[in-house]
Amino acid sequence: MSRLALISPARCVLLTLLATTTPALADTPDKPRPVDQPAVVVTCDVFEIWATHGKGEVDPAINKQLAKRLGASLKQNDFKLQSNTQAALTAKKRESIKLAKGSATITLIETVNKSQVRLAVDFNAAKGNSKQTTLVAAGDYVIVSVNQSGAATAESHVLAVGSCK
Amino acid sequence: MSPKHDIELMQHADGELDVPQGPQGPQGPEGPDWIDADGKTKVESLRGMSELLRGHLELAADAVPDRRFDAMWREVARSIDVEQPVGLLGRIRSWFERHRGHVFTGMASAGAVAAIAIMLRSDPGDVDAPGSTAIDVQPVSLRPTPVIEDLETPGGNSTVLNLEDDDGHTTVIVVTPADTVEGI
Repeated sequence: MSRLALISPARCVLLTLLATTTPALADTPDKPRPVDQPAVVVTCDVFEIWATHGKGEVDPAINKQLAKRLGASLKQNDFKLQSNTQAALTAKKRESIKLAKGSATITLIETVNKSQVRLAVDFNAAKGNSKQTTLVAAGDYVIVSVNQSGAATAESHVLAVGSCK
Repeated sequence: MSPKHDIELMQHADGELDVPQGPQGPQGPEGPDWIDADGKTKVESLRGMSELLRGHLELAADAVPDRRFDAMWREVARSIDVEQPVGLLGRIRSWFERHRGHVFTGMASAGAVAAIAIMLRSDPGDVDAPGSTAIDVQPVSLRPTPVIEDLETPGGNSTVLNLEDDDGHTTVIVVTPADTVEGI
């Protein structure tokens, strides 16, 4: 009698079940994820800008999208780029941003719905400071403008964070 | 009557005797001439006995139940099946033909269990996994307005503006020194 004939139908069913289900059940949902998985990394554009009252000149290094937003929201109309960087943000890790004047830290608290980021931005401007937590969608901007005095023609130290992806 | 005569009578009754040339002459319409009245009686009795036995045996043969024949045929078919070593493929085919029902049952059960296992493995929802490395940039129309959840401007006053245009949303926080008097 052949070997195949020696396999009883019940054994055949059991073997088939084992062969099919073992790989599928090998990684159950309760199994903890591997520790060495890459952490969340979100890249955000950071612009440091000095805004003054002038002739409406915009530094060509500032992208048109941001320049348009600056012009639409601030009293100043001259914008000069002081520094520009792309910050690679790791979740729950404070990232120091090197600025021409003052200092800033950005912390990616978490991502939400895979399309938003919750950011904590601590901006120590040349004069004055601001600290806020913002939930912003990928591609959008948060701009912090710290006026350097109370005068109507006060200059402003601006930090723009956005276009995260 | 002699025993030899009785044997000849039995042979005659069974049709085994060369009748036309019987031991003692040709055969007449009433039987061979050499058989007397007593012999004819014996021949008739023998024929009656033969008919009786034949009828009994035929009845006994008809009395065998059909199911016994069915069982016998199954046995015969099985023995023929077993004695068909027609190569490996033939054996495999024969095995599958004999256990087709079990194989299909096993496959259906395995498929059901695999489907359940796959459903259990899939992620329950859109919870952001710590292993994700990027976020999706949604179209402007689908992006929610930025939300300032916490704001501190020590020594200053703050004004929050929300702008929306074709490029997306912008939240602007304007900080002015606390001792500023608007318009000065």
